[in-house]
Amino acid sequence: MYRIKLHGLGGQGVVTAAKILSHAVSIHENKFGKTVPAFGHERRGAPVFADVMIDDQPVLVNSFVYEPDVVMLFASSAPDRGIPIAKGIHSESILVINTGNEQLVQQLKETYRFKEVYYVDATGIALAEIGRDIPNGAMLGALAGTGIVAIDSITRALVENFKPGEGDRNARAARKAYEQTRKK
Amino acid sequence: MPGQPEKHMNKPGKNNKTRTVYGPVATVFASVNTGSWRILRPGPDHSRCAGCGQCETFCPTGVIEIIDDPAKEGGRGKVVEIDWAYCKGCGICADVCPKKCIRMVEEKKGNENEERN
Amino acid sequence: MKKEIRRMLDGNGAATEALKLARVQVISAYPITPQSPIAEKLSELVVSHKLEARYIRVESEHTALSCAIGAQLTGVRAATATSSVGLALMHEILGVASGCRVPIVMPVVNRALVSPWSLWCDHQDAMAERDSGWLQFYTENVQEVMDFILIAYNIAEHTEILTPAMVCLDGFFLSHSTQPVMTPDQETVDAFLPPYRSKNLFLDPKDPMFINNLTSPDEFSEMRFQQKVAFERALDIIPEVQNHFAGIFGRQYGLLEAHECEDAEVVLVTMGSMAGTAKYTANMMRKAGHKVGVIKISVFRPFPVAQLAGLLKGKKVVGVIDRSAGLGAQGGPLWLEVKAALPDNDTRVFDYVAGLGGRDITEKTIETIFTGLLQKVNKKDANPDAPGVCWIDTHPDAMSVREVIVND
Repeated sequence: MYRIKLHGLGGQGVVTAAKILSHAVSIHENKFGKTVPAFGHERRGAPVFADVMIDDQPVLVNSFVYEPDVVMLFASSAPDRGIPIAKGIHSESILVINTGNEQLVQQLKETYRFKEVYYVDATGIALAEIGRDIPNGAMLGALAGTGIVAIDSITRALVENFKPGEGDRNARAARKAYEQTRKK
Repeated sequence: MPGQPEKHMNKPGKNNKTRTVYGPVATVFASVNTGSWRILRPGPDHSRCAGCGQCETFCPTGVIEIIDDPAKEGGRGKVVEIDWAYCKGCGICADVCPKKCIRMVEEKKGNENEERN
Repeated sequence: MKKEIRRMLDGNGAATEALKLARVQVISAYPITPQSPIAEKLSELVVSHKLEARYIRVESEHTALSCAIGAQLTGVRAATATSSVGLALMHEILGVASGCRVPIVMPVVNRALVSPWSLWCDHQDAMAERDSGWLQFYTENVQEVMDFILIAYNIAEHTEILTPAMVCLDGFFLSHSTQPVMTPDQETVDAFLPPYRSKNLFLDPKDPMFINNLTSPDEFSEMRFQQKVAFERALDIIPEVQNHFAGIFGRQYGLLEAHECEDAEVVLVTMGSMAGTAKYTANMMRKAGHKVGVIKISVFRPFPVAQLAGLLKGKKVVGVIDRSAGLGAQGGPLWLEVKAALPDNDTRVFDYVAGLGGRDITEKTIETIFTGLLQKVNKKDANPDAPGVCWIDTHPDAMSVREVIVND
């Protein structure tokens, strides 16, 4: 079972991304995904997280993720805001982060001891492809870059979950991010 | 009077069949004929009645209706009509009448009162 | 034959879909977190004519259920749904629905009751209504939300039951969790769930009834007795309907579910979404050689006493997780039922209160409970355990979590 934790800020589409990820693996890969979003007082810009579990069999657990195999950071500023991005990680845990800044990537990898860090400027891609600072589609593309989910599953799920046009733009952003994702 | 269900309530089905139902329900009203409760009855003075409808509005059992009286004021007059089968004789109509033209009279003397129905 | 598609739905989405598939014709719901998406989505379905129904906008849950009762008495399925204090505000009317035998099926999205204010999951809202004369189903996952609602209609409307049903789903952990759900098509559901017909009391101007009149001491007990008989019959009829459902949809449910109990040294009794986590944790512990099992109570009202006692026969140590506090009682509401179901044997039943006000019942929590239970198996002391309820996930500094400045 893969346990994935998505960290971001209100308005970045973190919860939507978590739902689309479950959709992608459950509908297009014959696996079982389950999204467990954390809800409270919804505020734009405030820290948000959502959890996804993916398995080859139905996911029994109805609980949050405490020992993530994958941490996704939609906002590279998260560590500065006191969000414990590395809480519960283990020696195989990887990080997927929205940044083009190689220095930051190196620094995070060393500080938190992630096995691998996958990074892409998802915000830049989102601004170019959809014209808005909502990096969720692009971040899912970056996740596909890790091999956990196929990019085709992600793009199909994006098209199916957004309005016509919007879905295509997000799918383009995802594919672009997938192609541009690099690993450290 | 419209809306008073007594007539339907006691009507037996075509085949006189019954069925069992669960829970609180009444299809026969033993105490439906509330007119029998009266000690006093309202006695309207139709000549002074302006047909304002206050008694009709406030009647808790909804048994008062303001109707046209062709014999009054050249056909434009109004009078109150009371359904004696259900009037409990509570006297609220007499209390609210702005012209004080409803007087509560003893039930047994009711027949002596001016009466239209 | 069977026409189902796999869709991604959260618990609220599945509840809405099930109400739609049941062809409800009147909806009167008042939004409350975490139930709001049900009220919202139903109104969208009505406005877009995807569901041919009347939507009554109401000012409270008290009115929401009152309208639903009146509507259903005219001979249609009426829908409402609620949570937490909304359910508490329905308290009076819950008794009207059950006492007048109006078989409404209502999703209840479990959320803690005040105070302290909380938006999050526990079972106290539904537990506070456990004697309201409603059937109570508790769901483990989103598929069960969909399936139990459809099943509940067939049970509630059965001529021998005629009793409303709550289908409980844990707030956020199910209501907002997106999961793959096999969603049947309308035709298949229609075959399972025939059109609604008033089988008992009804409102019809051509054949008037005075419903819910004052009932004297001469007949009150008798009408309560009628309800008691319905609950007893439900223990037979629920499995019949569940088997009928399995025949059509291929998913078998029961009054309760036993997971790895047969050779288990200790068994943990659970209810709601925690059951899935408990089953997963039990699987992990079995891989490590620990013989642990899980029971999931799917139907809390009526409580499946005989079935539970049968499964727990011979077990020396049983744990129960209560997701409500049961203040002042000898244990939580689920523990009381389990304990009373096992009167004559030497099974020791331990109560654990956990998961209040949205606290997550984690694999760690379950593992800690199982480990503790396994240790009790081999304890031969005269008094091996202090009596009382163990608040397993409460922080040790509970009595001093809030300090205020003293203004002398």
